[in-house]
Amino acid sequence: MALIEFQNVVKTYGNKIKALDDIDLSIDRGEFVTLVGPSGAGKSTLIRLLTREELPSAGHIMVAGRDITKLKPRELPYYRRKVGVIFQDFKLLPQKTVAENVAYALEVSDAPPDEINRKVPLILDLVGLSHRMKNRPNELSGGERQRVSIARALVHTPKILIADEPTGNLDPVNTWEIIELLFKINKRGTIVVLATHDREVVNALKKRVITMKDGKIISDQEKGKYIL
Amino acid sequence: MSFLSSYRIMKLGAISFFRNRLLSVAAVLVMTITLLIIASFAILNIVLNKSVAELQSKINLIVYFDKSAPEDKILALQSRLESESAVKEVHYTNRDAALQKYLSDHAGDPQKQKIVQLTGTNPLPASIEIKVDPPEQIGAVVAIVHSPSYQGILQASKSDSYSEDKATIDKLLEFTHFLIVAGVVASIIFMLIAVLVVFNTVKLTTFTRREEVEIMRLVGATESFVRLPFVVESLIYAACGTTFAALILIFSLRSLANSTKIGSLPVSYANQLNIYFSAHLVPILLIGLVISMFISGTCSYLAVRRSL
Repeated sequence: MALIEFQNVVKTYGNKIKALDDIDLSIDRGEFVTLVGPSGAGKSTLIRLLTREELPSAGHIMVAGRDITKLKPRELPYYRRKVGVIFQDFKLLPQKTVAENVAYALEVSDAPPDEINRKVPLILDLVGLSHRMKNRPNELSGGERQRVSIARALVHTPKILIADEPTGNLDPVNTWEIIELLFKINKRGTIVVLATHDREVVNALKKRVITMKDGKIISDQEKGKYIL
Repeated sequence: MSFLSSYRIMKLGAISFFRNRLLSVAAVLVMTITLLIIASFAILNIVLNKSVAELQSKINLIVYFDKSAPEDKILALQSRLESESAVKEVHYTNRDAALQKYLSDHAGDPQKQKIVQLTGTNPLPASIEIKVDPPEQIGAVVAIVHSPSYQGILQASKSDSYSEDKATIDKLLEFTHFLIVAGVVASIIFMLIAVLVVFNTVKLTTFTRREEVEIMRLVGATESFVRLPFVVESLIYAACGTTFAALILIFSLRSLANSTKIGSLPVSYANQLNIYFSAHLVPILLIGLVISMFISGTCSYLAVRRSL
């Protein structure tokens, strides 16, 4: 059974700009999906709809059987704790340490101190940053910062991890470290939705590839390749 | 909201206050200045009210009677005046009592004592002193005194203290009224300025921290967790601003009270204010704190709702 389902989703900005045009898409539990397409294809819009930063102009988005377009504002934080997101620019709090950045996600969700003290070292160990707990983001490399961001996204044990161009700012070595980490997370049963421009990564992954252009899905292949 | 969440929200607000030092110092400074301006106008109001009350208490109407005026007619006028609601007090002084008072008032002045002895008779007229409240009603009371039924008993040359000083008294009443209205209007204007200052400071704070807010939402923070730290921070601005404003005010009043002269003004008001503030320091500080925190908290909550 699909965990994520887009049903006839349309997103328009103003009267003319159609960012998404009648998208039908389903993603099953445990899948690793790569989302590719040129700039303006609609990848980021699709991700913003999935994280409920925006609402579609038409259609429904079902996540775990629930239409997220109908979520009330007070339900949104609880939904977002089930969906981890990482970005190209990491979005870390510069004044907090690595451990504090990760703990922050638990603090805002009312987690008790003993749970925070137990979970944070475990997650940082998973992303290989146990030795960097007390460093601030500006003392880390790009790859390490992205790993902190992944740790923070994983701390709520989400069912879905959305990665929007996570390797866009990284060198090839760090890129592969992050992709390997995403693989590891996927193997634990989490859906990974990876939006990327990186042809090499897409081709090497040999996972499902959804190609978008002008707001439409033009190709959806199991073990696909970068076709643009 | 749980105790743990409340504690974390307060901690976040306090941490933000200390971390964003420059913005916090600016906000506290603006808050202190605004509170000082409001306090200055409040003090001006206290001074004005005291001055007005003092001036108004001095506006008494004294009616002088002809030496031949029969006492029963004067007493009839007294009872007529006592029936008026604006008349608070009527005090009759007959000619003998007036002379006794004059002599006792000037007991140490042999020249004045001599004048009375030289004339051989009592030169002073009988009078009644009337206290009118509100003082604006003084004209109506004078009209009763001058009504035809009492015309014959009034002294011909100077029948009352008001008719002669009418212009001065009216101007004084008009001026004090203007000062009170001006004080209230200025205080309201500065209250509005304080509201705008807090509102815009918090809007500026939310703008400078929009990325942090985005991250908070991204990691699943509830709206109260996103918004309330800003309110806590603004309450700290208010508390610091009130404390600094109170300290500046106390030291200013003390140094004013210690000086012998403020320009050409007497220091008695500064002294009185200093005594008044020292005696009521705790309630004044608490009232200031509650008012500034209420303004600050409400404005920041509205600003956060608008901008986040």
